[in-house]
Amino acid sequence: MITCIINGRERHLDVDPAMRLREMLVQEGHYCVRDSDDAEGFCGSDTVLVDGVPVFSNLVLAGEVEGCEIITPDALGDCRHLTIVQQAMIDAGVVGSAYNAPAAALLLTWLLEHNPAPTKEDIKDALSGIFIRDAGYEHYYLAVELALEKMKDGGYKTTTAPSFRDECKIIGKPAQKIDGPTLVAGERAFVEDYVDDDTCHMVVLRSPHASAYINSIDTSEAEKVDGVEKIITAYNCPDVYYMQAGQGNPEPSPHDRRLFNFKVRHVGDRVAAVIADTLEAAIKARDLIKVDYDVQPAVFTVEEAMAEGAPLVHNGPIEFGVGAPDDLDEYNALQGDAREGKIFYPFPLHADIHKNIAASNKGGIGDVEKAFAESDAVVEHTYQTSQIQHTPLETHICFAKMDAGRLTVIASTQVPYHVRRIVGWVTGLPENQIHVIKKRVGGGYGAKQDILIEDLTAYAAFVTGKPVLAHNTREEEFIANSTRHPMRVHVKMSGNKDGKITGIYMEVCANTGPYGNHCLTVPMNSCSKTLPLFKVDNMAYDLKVYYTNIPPAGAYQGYGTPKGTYGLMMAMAELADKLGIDYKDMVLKNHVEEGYMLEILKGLGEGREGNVVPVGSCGLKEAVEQGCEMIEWGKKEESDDPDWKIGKGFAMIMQGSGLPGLDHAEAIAKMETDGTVILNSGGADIGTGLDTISAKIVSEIMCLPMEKISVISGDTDSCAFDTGSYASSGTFFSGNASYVATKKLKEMVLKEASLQMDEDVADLDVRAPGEVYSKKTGAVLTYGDLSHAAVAGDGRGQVIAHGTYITTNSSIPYGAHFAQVAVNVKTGEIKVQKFYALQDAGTPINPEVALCQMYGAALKSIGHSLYEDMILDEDGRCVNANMTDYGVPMISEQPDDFKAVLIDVNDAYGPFGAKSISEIACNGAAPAIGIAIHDAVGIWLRDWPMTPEKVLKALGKI
Amino acid sequence: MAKQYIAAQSVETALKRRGENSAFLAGGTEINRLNSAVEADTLISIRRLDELKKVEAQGDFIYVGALCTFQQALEEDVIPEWFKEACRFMASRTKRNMATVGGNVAVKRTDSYLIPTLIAVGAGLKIETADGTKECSVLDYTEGLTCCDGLITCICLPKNPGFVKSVRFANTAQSHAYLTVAFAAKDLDHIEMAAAVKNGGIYHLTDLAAAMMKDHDVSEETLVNMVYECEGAVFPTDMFGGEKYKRYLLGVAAAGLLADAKKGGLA
Repeated sequence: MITCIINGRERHLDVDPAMRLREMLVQEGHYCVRDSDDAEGFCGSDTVLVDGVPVFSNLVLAGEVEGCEIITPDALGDCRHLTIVQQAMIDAGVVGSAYNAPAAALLLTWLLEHNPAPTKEDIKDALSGIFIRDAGYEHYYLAVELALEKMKDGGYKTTTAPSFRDECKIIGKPAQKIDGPTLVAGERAFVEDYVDDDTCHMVVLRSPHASAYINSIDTSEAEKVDGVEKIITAYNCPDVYYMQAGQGNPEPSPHDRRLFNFKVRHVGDRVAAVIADTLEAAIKARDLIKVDYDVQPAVFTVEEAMAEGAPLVHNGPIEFGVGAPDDLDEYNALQGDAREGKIFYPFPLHADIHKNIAASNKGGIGDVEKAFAESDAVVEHTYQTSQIQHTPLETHICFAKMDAGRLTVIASTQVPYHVRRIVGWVTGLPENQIHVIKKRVGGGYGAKQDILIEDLTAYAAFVTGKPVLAHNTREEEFIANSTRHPMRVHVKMSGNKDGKITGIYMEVCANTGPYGNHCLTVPMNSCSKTLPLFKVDNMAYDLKVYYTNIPPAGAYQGYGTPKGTYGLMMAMAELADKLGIDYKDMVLKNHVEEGYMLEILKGLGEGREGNVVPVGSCGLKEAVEQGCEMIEWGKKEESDDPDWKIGKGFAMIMQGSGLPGLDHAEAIAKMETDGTVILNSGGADIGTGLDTISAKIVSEIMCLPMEKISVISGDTDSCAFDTGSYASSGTFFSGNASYVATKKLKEMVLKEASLQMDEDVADLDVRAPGEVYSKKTGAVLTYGDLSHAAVAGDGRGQVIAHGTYITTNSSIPYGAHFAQVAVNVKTGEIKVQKFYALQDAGTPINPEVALCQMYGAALKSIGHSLYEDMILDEDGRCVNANMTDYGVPMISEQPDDFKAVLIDVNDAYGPFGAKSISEIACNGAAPAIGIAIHDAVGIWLRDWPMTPEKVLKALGKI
Repeated sequence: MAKQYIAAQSVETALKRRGENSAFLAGGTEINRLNSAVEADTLISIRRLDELKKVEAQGDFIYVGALCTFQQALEEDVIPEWFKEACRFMASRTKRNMATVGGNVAVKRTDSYLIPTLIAVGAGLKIETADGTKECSVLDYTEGLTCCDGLITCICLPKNPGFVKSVRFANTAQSHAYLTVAFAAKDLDHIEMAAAVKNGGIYHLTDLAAAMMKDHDVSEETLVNMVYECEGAVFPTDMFGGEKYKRYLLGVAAAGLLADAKKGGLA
């Protein structure tokens, strides 16, 4: 029996004293004490106070708290009674995906109780044990400032974020993120909070080999373990080929896998799934499964994959939905072992699996060879990028169950409708029998655009009839998830002495790993979201994507763009250096501007012809010029320590706002009988504030207070179709669908009012706080009265509007990221002293949240540039598959001078002029830092991560 | 995870309960951590032994109780700045609230926050064993020469070790250090150095120190070359970097520490 005080209440708990404290607290209902790192003592999701001191509860045993007082994050305010600190966090914009927000609130509360006037260093120290991947840390300083102001003066003096669009009341203004209170208070929000008590657990036996055929699987001993419900393997799973990328149907990715295959293609690949009534039983049974492997040689790099006679990752027959080549039978005659399985292409991806090529594409405009021949200077270099993990705080999780004869899938996903479709394929169920519910997503970053565990979990629930939970360990996130494709970007660029770039050629070789999720589109993106930055007549690209046996690659925030940007911007800086021209001058001479026709896009569609469009709204020049002023471009900084050299660099960046011509979004706006509005959005808010954007759109158009608007999203039963949150589509597509639906709702309300008020529609308008008024007679009808009458038995029915948004227009966000670095010429250490992210996001609808997304993405990309790197041993095993060894930027790594600036540009197509915001912020750090390193010490680091060891090698020190 | 938890009420009972497959549990940041190197069926918690939390100066030494946490050490006036510098290598405040100085020494990790500094200054340990109290140097303890099965009760820091400085190299502040180097000198004729090389070992760098004492102006190049040629230490090529890089870094760090000592007024 353990006696302790939990949140002020004395408890006598009959628990094993060797149990972890976190487990005990969750058992007692404090489920916001979470686990992100399998008890590594790194992420801080498990932070609680024991006797007034913050500790990691996973590293404390229950017996240790005998007689202690414990405070958990849910002891602070609830969502209706937030504390000053919790409210300040929301107002500062840091409550994004928010898996760690309750723990951070607890730490800041603790800090202010012990130190009412903390310095920046004190705040940094308090938050040093908590990992924030979504919002960065910069606005946590702001949150503390706001809280202190409110404690002292009862209100804020400091502005939380700039405001935009004076003509709007709530669009472009800081306002409370609508899910903020629930998230910061640590209330039920994530999938793990909705799991039934009688749920079975599923664990997966994973391959120890990078490549092997399965000769046999013996599950007989495993099946004897008490509590085992089912073991699924290649021998009893559906013979359905699909892929796990959450992309529009038909996907530009090969269907090259089943739930389980007879050939494993990477260390960590699925071999068997065990479903049992306890986690312990599932693990015990998993460990009793015997597998006879026929180990095959493997390839890990694109160089190995493209080598003559290289082992083939896939070597089965191929099939096509459309566009099969004439020589298909001859091609398939070369197929290997039957255990290879087959590949189905919805349409041709220009693949050649007999050369390990998963997809390819080439194209361009003008004549690059002629340009190179006629130019004053040419540079030609290869830039290499590494494999990177998303490290969302909430690892992949899915809970599925049969409910009234239908299959319910509760998921942490960016793509509920793609989940439904793929679960339908795997189970054979039609979509009307599958209900996907997206809960709050504790970090996605592209990793949850792929259907990595939902397919298997849903099938397990379907085939057993039992509720089933699957929850990835942190190691599984590294070895059995999706990651950023390692890429080799070869750039040849020519220019003249006047600074004009004359030709650009990009050759991209990408490593997609064992399966082809996003294999065409990620590398395409490294060209399609970079070349259109340049006003250059001669540009060409040639990309090839190779299958290998590394852990799978897939979608990652920024998609292929960070790698293409790294190559192109570094090459431009090298060209400027060779020509003796200031890099800034070259940038300003060659970047696109509004109205420039983007011919290069013609060949860069997602597996189909792209849309050639002119550049629309564009804040690129302003971002470059303002950033150069801020960082004092051209001014050489000197360190007091001669070992440290200082340099500056920057990079132009762009992204997209969804996929014009491919993406599709829908929303349904309903006026309830009391005049409030519920908006059912197909969009998937993954912590970015998309639901708040939809609510603000309703509020602005209907002149209705935010508290009278609710947004239901990501539920395939109650909402209409949306392709999902990826490719920076949320604000632009899903937001525009909400905009269209609300505009229609307003029209319908006015029409209904004209009948009820007996006035012409033209004389009516809406106004706050939610009423229709006559500009002619002054008569007023509240929404409540209007809606009540509409459903009162003799009315014309509830006012419901349906909005659909598709477009071929592009709203491209632009920007420039600047870095000032210090490089130690003795040790090779690199410090990012300053980082300025300037972005044109059109109208930032949630400006405080937008800024935090910029900080989060920029800090993440600083980590990618300097240390994040999945390292495989010679057998393809990831040797740093944990947070500590992998290394991610935390508050200690944040630049001392870190600024995010929103460039004010109003776009023609986005809702209220908005464009996308967060993905683009991943694109600038690597080239900005790389160029700054050159400015500091004269070396070009063409291989990220740019480590001290590489600096020393380039300097000739080792 | 351990199967059994025992809360010891005294040092004596803790020692009595220590048997096969058991370990002393202090702060928990190592033993309860994912992939901990410590495996034990029974954990004997010494957390409640308040006498092991005391920090006091007596004579030529500062006695730091083994259960003093890293954070407590930072807050104690009596603890010297050079020891606090090593404690700050543990970047996470939450972890510093838990981890104990004795625990960090006891687990002898090759990325230890404290051991290189403690070896460089010649720090000692008090260890309770079934045979009574023993005293030994941190160096002897680390090398396995003394009473490893006992319970560290106290770290004895010299009050006047002269100039002391440590440097740490890691990918991020929270990552494991792949190299930690410590330097201590009362004057340029009395220099001690130590280093921890992750997955390599913990080394008392007598040759480097001797070279510095022999030639107070020994060059960085000479020190780097000495480390390149050193066969007694292991510098693995691994996820943290290549052997040559680590050897070079140790030489450069040593030269930098010597330069800092001179700048600090050491003659």
